[in-house]
Amino acid sequence: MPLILRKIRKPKWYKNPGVPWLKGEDLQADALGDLNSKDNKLSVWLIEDNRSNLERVIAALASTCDSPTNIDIVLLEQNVLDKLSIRWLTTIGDSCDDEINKAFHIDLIQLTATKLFEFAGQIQQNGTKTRFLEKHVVQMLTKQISTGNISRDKIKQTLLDDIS
Amino acid sequence: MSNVRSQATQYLVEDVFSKTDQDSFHKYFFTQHNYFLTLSKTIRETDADKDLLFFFSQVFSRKGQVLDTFAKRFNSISDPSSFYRNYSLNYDNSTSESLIPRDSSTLPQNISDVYNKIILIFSSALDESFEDGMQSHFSKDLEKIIFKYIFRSINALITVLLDPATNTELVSEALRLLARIKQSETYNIRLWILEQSLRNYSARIRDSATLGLSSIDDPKSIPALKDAIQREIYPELREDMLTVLSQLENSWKCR
Repeated sequence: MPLILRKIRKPKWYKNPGVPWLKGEDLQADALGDLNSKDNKLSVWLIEDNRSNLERVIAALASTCDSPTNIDIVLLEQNVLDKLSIRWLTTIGDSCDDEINKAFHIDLIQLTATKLFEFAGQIQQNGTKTRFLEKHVVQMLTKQISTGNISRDKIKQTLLDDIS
Repeated sequence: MSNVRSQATQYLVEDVFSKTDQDSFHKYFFTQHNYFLTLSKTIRETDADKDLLFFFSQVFSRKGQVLDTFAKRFNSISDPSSFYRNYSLNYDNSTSESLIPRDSSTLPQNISDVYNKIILIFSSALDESFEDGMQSHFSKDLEKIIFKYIFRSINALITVLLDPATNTELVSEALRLLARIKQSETYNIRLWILEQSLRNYSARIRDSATLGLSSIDDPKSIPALKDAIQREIYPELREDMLTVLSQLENSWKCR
């Protein structure tokens, strides 16, 4: 089953006792900040069920940053979109990896506040949240640059200076 | 947070930091000098938090030159935590006393100016959204201040970061910035701030401190991180701390 990937910030998704005042399966309000829709669309990435493209997508996410950083992600089974009746469309991503942008990027479209909240609930209950530390992300990014999958010309100078 | 620390912090937050006018704040504090000495004695007697004592002395020191000299001495020391434990133990001696001047009739503009600039940056950023790896207006402005005022800015920043009333997201961003900037003069004190932030009441801030230590990748932080892991009640964060510990230990082996 293919997966969908969304970049998040793990602490926003902490449950009790990480956030003592949260009850039961409550979600912090700040978590919704990781699901900022634009024009009622939300950008996510498709990950092969054997996760063979995961590293390349992580590098692609990192390629748009101003500086090296950790990348926190959540992975959800793609059939969640059917369960929530969320429509999606293949669109071109905006990372520095053109191939990834065309092959593995989708937009969740025609989102309502209710669907977005339900999507957040699915992340909380069924999502696999993973952190890639900065050092590892830099290694992944450097590898994609050296193989030519990501062009140095597209990366911000501030990021290039820090990873060189 | 220990009882004494929470009591001490609560008192300071409610009764001292709540002064809206920084000039009044400084004048108020310096007229309550004896209170501070009593408080520091209480902290020392209960052995609760000598680090807090250090912070208080930094916050309430008016003399910019003394602050800078102290901070430079501090920054040249390879093991800051033991240094200011010794400093706290020797608090009653004249060297320590000189950091808390008794004459509050004149206020040097340099300290309160930097503090006020930092407060303004924090206040202006309350509605800003942050994303890992992306520079924000908040981090740009704060970075400028740190490079311009160096130790004075770090000392003023400590005050803000320690204040439980400060927005946790902004504290988290500030900690990430402290890890990221390249400034050799303040390296030790920045590392120390991150290590101390592993004890923060907020899991979000502890996480940012952990990420900051991962970013700096200095094996010197291994003991502080191990302590934090022992204390950490939240399993997910503990797992993340363990991953960073593994990274630091690998870095240690590679040196």
